[in-house]
Amino acid sequence: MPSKRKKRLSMTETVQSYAMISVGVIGLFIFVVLPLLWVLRYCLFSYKGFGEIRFVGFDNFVRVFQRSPKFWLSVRTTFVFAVGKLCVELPLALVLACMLAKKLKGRTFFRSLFFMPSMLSVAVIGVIFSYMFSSYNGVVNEIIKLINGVGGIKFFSKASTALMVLMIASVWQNFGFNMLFFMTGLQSIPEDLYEAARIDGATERQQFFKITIPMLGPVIQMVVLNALLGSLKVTDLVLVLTDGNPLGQTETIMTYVYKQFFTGSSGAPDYGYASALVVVSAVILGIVTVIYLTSTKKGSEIY
Amino acid sequence: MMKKLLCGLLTVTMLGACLWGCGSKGEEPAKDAGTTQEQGGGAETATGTEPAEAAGDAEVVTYYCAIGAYLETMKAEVDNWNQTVGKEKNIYIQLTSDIDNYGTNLTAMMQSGNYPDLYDYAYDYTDFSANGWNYDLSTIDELSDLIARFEPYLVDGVNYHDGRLVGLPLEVIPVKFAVNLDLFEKNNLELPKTWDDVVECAKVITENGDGVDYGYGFTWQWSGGIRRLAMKSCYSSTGVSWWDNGNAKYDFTPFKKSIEAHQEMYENGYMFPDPSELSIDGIRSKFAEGHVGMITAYGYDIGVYNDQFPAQCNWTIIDCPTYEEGEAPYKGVYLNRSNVGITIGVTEEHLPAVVEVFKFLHSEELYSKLYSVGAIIPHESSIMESTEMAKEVKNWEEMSDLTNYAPLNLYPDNLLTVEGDNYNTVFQAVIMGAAEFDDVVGDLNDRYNAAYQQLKDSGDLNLEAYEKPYTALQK
Repeated sequence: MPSKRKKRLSMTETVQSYAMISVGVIGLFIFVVLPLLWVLRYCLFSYKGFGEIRFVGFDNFVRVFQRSPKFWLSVRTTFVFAVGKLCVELPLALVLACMLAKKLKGRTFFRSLFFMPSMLSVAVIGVIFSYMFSSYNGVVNEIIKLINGVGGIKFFSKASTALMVLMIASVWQNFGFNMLFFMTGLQSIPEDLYEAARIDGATERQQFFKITIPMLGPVIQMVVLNALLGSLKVTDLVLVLTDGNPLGQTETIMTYVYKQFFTGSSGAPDYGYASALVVVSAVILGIVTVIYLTSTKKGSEIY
Repeated sequence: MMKKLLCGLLTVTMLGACLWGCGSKGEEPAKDAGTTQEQGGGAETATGTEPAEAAGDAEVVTYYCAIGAYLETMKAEVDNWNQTVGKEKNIYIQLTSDIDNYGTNLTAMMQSGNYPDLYDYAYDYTDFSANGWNYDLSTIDELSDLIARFEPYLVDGVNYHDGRLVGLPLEVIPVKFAVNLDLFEKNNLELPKTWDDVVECAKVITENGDGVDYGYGFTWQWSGGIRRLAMKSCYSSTGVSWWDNGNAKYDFTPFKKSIEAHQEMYENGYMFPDPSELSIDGIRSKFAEGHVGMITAYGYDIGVYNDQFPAQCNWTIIDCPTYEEGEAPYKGVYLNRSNVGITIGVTEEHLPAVVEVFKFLHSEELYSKLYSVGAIIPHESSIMESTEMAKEVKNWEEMSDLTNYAPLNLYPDNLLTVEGDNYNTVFQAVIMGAAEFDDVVGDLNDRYNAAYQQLKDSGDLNLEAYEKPYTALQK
C-alpha cells in the first residue's frame, strides 16, 4: 500500500514538473525556436516585403561569402572593437574590484559611482559621448585646445578615431558591471590562503598572481565570455553614436544585419539576405564561444 | 495538499497567461490597433490627444502619423474636433506621432497585422499597395465629393498606385535654400546664384568665422542626406533626376557638379563640422544659432526655424543655386505629399467613423489653419488666397512662392534591391575624398539599372507610373 501511494505521489510530482516546465518550453518554442526556423527558411528565399517570395537556393549565402565586402568589413570592425575595448575594460574592472574589496574609506560611494554608468540608457550615453567628442565646442576638443593650442579634431570623420570613441563609451558603460562580478568572486576567496601566503613571505604582487587570479578563474571565464559576446553583439551604441559612419567603417555585425533587415542597401528590406547574414553571424559567434570555452577550460578547473 | 493546489493553480495561470498573451484578437483589428504605443516597433510616441481612456464610450479612430514641426497645432485641432464634432458623433481621434523611423515602424506594424486606422501616406509606399494594406479610396462612396475637390492635383504614382486611389494631396514641399543674412552682410557677400558662388561664399564666411561660423551646413547622419541636401537642390540645372523616367534608366552623371562642389567644401573645411556627427536637427539648430551661412531648406523648415529652433539670426529663403548663371527656366522642384491613407484593418462597421475623421483631416478649414501658422502649403491656391495668417511666419511668403517650380518626378529607389553601397554612401565617399566621381558613377549606374531590371522582370509591381516621361523641367 505505501509503495502504491509512493508511486502515485511520484506520478503526481512528474505531472506537476512537466506542467511547470511546459510554460518555459512553450515560451522557448514560440519566442526562440519558431523565429529561428523562420530565419532558416528565409535564408533560401528572396523577399522584399512585397510581391512573391522566391526560392533562390543558397544564393543568399553565396552573396554573403562572395559579394558582401561590407559585411566582412563589419566582422573585422566588430572584432577590433571587442578585443580593443575588452583589453581595457576587464583589467580596469579587476583592478578597481581589488581596490574596492579592501576596507577603504568611502568604498560604498565609489562602488555606486563606478556602477552608475551601467544604469544609464545607451541612448543617453550616446548623446553624452557625441557632445563630449564633438568637433565643435566638444569638451575633449576644448581640453586638447588648451593643451596644444589646436582643437577641432573630427573624431567621427575617421574610422580609427570614431571606433576609439565607441570603445571608450562602451568601456565607460560596462566596466562597473564587470567590477561587481569580480568583487563577488573576490569575496568568495578564503582569507586563510592570503594569511598562509603572507606567513610564507609572499609579496602583494605574488598573492595577486598566484592566489587571486587563479581563484577567480571561473568568474573571469564567465565575465570574459559575457563581455566578449556582448561586445560582438553591440548594436544600439553604434546606431546612436556613429550609425556606422564614416562610410560604414564603424558598422558592426549586428548593425549591418539590422539595416539589411529593415532597409536593405537601397531602401527595400532584404529579408532573405539578412536571414543568411544572421545565420552566418550566429555561426561566427558560436565558433568564437567554443574556441574560448575550450581554450579556457583549464583555467576554470584549477580550483 | 495546499502546496500542491497552489502549485497547480500557478501553473494553470501561467499557461493561460502565456497562451492569452500570444493570441490575437483577429476579429477586432481596428480596436486592437487602439494605442500605437503598445504596438512595439520602437515607436517613440508623442500623443497628440488625451489618453485613449478620455474617449469614454466613443468610437476610437487611430491616426498614426509622422508629424513633427507642426505637431502642437495638429494636436490642438484634433483636441478641438474631439471636444466638438467628435462628441456630437461619438467619435474620438487617437493621434500618435512617431517621427523617428516612421516608415520602418509602420511597415513592421502592417506586416504584423497591427493596423492603425489612418496613417500618413507617403508617395513611395508603393509596396503598401502591392501588399493590399490600404483601401482604394475611390471605392468609398462617401468620399466622392472630397475626391472631386482634389481631382486636378491627383498624380499617377503619387496618389494612384496601380489604378487604386490610395491618398489625397496634403501639401507641396518646395526645395529651396536658407541663407543667414547676418553672415552675408558681415562678409560683404552677395547672395549665391550658382554652386560656384556657394563654394566661394562658404569659403569667405568660414575663413572669417574664426572657428565659430561656417559657410555651409550639411550632414550625412540623415537617412538619404546626400539625396535630400545635395541632389534635389540641383533640378533647376540638371532638368532631370538620377532616374530618367522616359528611358527607364538610372544616370547619376548630371549630379557631378553638385557632388564635387560639396567635396571641395568638405575638403577645405567650409562645411560646419562635422557632417559625420550632426543629425539634421543638429545642423538646423546651428543654422538657427547663426553659425551656418547656407543650407538646403524644405518647406517644413519654415516651421523649424520659426518654432522648433527659432532663428537668432536674420535669415531668408532663396532659390537653389544653379550650375551656370542664368541657365534655368525653372527654379526647382517641390515634393507632392499626400495626406492620410486608410488601412485594411478598418472593418465595414468601423469605416463610417474613419471616413468622418478622414473628411476632417482633408477639410479646407484644417488646411487653412495649417497654412495660417506656416505648417503646410496646400495645393489649392484658393485656400492660400483666402487665409489670413494667424501669426507672422518669417519667410513663409518666400517659401510659398512656387512660380516656375515643378513637381518632383517619381523614382523607384526604395523598391530596389541594390547589391553593394547605395548612392548616398558612394557619394559620401566622393565628398570625403575616398573616391573620384568619374571612377564610381559608371558602376553605380550599372548596379541601379540591374536592380531595376530585376524588379521589372519579377513582375511584382506595376511600374508604369515610374516610366512615364518627366518633362516638367524641360518645358
